[in-house]
Amino acid sequence: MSEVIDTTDQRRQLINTAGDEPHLVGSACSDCGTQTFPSQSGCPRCGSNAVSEVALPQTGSVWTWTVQRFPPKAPYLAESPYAPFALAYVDLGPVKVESRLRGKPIDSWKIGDAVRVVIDESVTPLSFWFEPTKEMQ
Amino acid sequence: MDVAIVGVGLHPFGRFDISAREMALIAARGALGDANVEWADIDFAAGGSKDGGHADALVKELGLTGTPFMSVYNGCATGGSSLLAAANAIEAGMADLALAVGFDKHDRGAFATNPAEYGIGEWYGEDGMMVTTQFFGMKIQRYLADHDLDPRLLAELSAKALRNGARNPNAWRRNALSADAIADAEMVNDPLTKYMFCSPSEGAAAVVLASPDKARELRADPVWLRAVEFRTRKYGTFEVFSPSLAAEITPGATVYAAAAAFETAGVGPADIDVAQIQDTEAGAELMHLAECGLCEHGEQGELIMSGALEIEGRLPVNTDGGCIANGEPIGASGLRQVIECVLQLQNRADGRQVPNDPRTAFTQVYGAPGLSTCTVLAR
Repeated sequence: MSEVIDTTDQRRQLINTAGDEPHLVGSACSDCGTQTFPSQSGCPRCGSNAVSEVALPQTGSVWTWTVQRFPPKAPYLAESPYAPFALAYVDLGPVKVESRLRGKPIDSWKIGDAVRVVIDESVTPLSFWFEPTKEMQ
Repeated sequence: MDVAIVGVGLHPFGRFDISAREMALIAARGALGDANVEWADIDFAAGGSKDGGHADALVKELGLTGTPFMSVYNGCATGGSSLLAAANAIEAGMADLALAVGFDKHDRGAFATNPAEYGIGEWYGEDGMMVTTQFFGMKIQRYLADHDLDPRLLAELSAKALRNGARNPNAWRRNALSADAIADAEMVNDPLTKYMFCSPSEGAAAVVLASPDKARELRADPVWLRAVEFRTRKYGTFEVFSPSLAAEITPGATVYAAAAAFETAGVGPADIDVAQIQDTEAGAELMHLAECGLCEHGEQGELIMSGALEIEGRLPVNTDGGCIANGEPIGASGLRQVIECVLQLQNRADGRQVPNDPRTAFTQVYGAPGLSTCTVLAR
């Protein structure tokens, strides 16, 4: 059994909740414009280290999705009893972010569904997830 | 490339009471015996295993001859890398005879992977996203939509794998299942049901490679390794363990490895008589068929439903049951594909022989974090 690692600092780097509009934090390359999530110190496309943090868009659409029907192994922080969850790559435009989905039945998701990021540090372990936009609900 | 395969050895894939290294020794000795050579004759060896121990430590039982033995690891493509190392040793003139071996023995269930090994924060695993099978589900979900393909094809491909496995005495899963039963089985990661995945398993595979002169000395029917090409991903591909993907998705490593293998061999996809394609799950085979150039994207439906991919079809694929029927001992899997092609080209694939005297074969492995090795083999 591996020891539990404190991910508080890692999780703070994923998000910015300081302003009125909490958002995910990625990185953007000053040379070629490529964005990543989470932020990283070098550009995966051109190798430049001239990268800086960037606020990612709050809304996007489901690019692809699936349902995790069996409990993942460690380091997954299991809920008991296990509840299957939906997840997706959400197309935010400059980058597609992998995220848990919440807010509607797990097998009712469709490619193209409009979603908005939710950042709520009180829900552990998740730091963020995407839900249907209000217009859809 | 001018390298021959003169011997093959396989320990059956499945679940067994012996260790991975014992299986490796059985496979290696089998390949040496098939080539009618001794371990002491081997000038260079390469091998790999994820969970079975260090490949180079096999010399303790094979014999301490001083032979250079390179241990390699490249995920599911490990077998391709050991083959490449052994083939290059012959091409470079450092060996007349070389051995490539792969072996493994994994715990049951999906692989548990430490995010840090892939440069990813622990949070990603805690949130339940460090799971290979969910990547497979998401990748094929998008592919089916992009190319207007029926999810039913996934069940048809799994049914083919199990049908072929039932004809292969070395396979793990030897019970055929109907496409209906596969489609209606428990959903694991939508749209993939439990019978559409391969499972981690156990087994070992080995091949003996030879220079042309040595090959002609050893046997009348060597199989020629015309190309072995290895590529890693470029920017923008859709790979496992990716917290984010690029704005524009680009072709995967398989596309480049397959094109290079055909170019090196001087043949094209239309020349292939039998192929073994990485089918970690049914969606992988579906996508890889087109990535290898064996069909166009979106043409898979016609290929599958017409029976073209069956053992008696126009382009038999995964004639030994593939990963779905054999399971995947990671270190051995790529060499299993090569061995199956060798047996088919030598007309000794018991119970599952492709008719009409196949002359040219192709293999493709693909593994995390986005790499592929493809080979072309010919009589």
